[in-house]
Amino acid sequence: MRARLSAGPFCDIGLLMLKPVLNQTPRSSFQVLRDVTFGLLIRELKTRFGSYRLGYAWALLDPLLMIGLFSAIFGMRGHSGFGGAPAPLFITAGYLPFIFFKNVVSKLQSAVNANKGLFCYRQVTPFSTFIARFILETIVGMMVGGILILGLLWFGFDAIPNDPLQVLLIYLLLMIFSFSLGIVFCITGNLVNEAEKFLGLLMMPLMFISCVMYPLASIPAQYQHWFLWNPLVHALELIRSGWIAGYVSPNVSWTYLFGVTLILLTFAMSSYRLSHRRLIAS
Amino acid sequence: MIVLDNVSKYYPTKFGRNYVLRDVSITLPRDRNIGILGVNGAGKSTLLRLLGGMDMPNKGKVTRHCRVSWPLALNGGFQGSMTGRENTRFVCRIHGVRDTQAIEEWVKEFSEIGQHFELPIKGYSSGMRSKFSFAVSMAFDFEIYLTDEIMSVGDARFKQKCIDIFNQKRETASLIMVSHDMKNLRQQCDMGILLRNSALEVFDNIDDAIRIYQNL
Repeated sequence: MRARLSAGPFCDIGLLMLKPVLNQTPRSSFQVLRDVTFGLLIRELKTRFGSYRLGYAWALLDPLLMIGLFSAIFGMRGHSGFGGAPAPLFITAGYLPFIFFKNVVSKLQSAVNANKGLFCYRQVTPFSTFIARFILETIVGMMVGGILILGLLWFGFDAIPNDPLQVLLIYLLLMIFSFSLGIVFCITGNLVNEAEKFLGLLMMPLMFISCVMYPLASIPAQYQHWFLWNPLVHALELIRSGWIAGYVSPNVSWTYLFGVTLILLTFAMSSYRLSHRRLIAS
Repeated sequence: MIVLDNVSKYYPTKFGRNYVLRDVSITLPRDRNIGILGVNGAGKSTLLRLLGGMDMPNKGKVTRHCRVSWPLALNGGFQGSMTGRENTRFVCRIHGVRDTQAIEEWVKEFSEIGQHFELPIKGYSSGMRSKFSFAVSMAFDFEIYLTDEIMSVGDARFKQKCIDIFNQKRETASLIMVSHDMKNLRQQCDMGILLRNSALEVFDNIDDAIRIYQNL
């Protein structure tokens, strides 16, 4: 009985309250994309770390544990293996971009399936889920990078990037590369169910062939050209040579990285254009 | 007003294309309440999804010239790991509402789920879930509401509350509904569309549509 009494007036107040809130002017499609991306970004932020006990701390702990472990293992080898750079710094500069490359690709690959329920709002498109996850991962990557730099400084390493602009630029280029690759993987995975098994297989050995834990210079010269087909090698070596003073890697070129990224991005966008209906319907 | 221009929609099956609509051109007026009839599997829900823009036609174009809701009383569309409040906020944001506070409070009051509003949706009972999703859809002013078997929410009292607020909305908005309940259709709609053989037959009077449908 009490509930019924309270329900009536609240209804009316509610309706009065709502009237001014809604905007009547139609939004442009860009504004819709912006609003949706913002909404999805917050939703990703809530669910990305929300289920873990330490929440947001995992964004930091995850690379920190790996870097600590690898620094301990490879640090025993002394400085010689890393082109003169101290082990933790060398591994941070290589492993951090790599892990965020992997994160972006796997997050984008699962973006459509993870948001399937939300496509019942016509404003939400697969593309906005890609953008939201891309922005989130890129920003988390930069923040983790910043915190790790501070941490390394605390321990007395000269961790400030030598050429911050180059590091940032190549990092962004690498993120766009990952963005395109993630979209391509997502589309192939959705169109061909079996593809996901092979894509997982493809990603596994990448860490060992992408110069994450060793410099390109440590590869014998006659085999280097095999490694140089891999755009990740270019990205990681460029980031390292911008980060660590005195680290040089003469064989990598940013034009190659840029060219591959551009081609892959074009390919990703065209395949998205051709198949975005099937992404929602499936 | 929703305009369908030469729209075809099919599903690929083992036995070839299963057409739901074939070259349909029609204009649905903004100020009429429309009931969609058809036998099971004729594609009524797909038609509703096409109208709402959740699904896209294989050929042709669907243009909406007013604010059209998503299909109401549907249980999807929420992220199970987020709380009721966060989900409400999300729906507000994608609809371009900046000040979400008022709507959040309104949804909390209307849905009568109390503190569960602050808990993840996946823990809701099915009754709470449908009350919540009805409340969210009522929080926005659309010009056309799309509904798929609506008004079956909660207990008798809550149901009455839903009907009341919905009738209030109807003063400024119209309704396109799919139902198998002829009594409900007669009450709510004044125009009928019969979906059969991948084509739409429009009846200016819902009673005519129901008569034809019952003689199918």
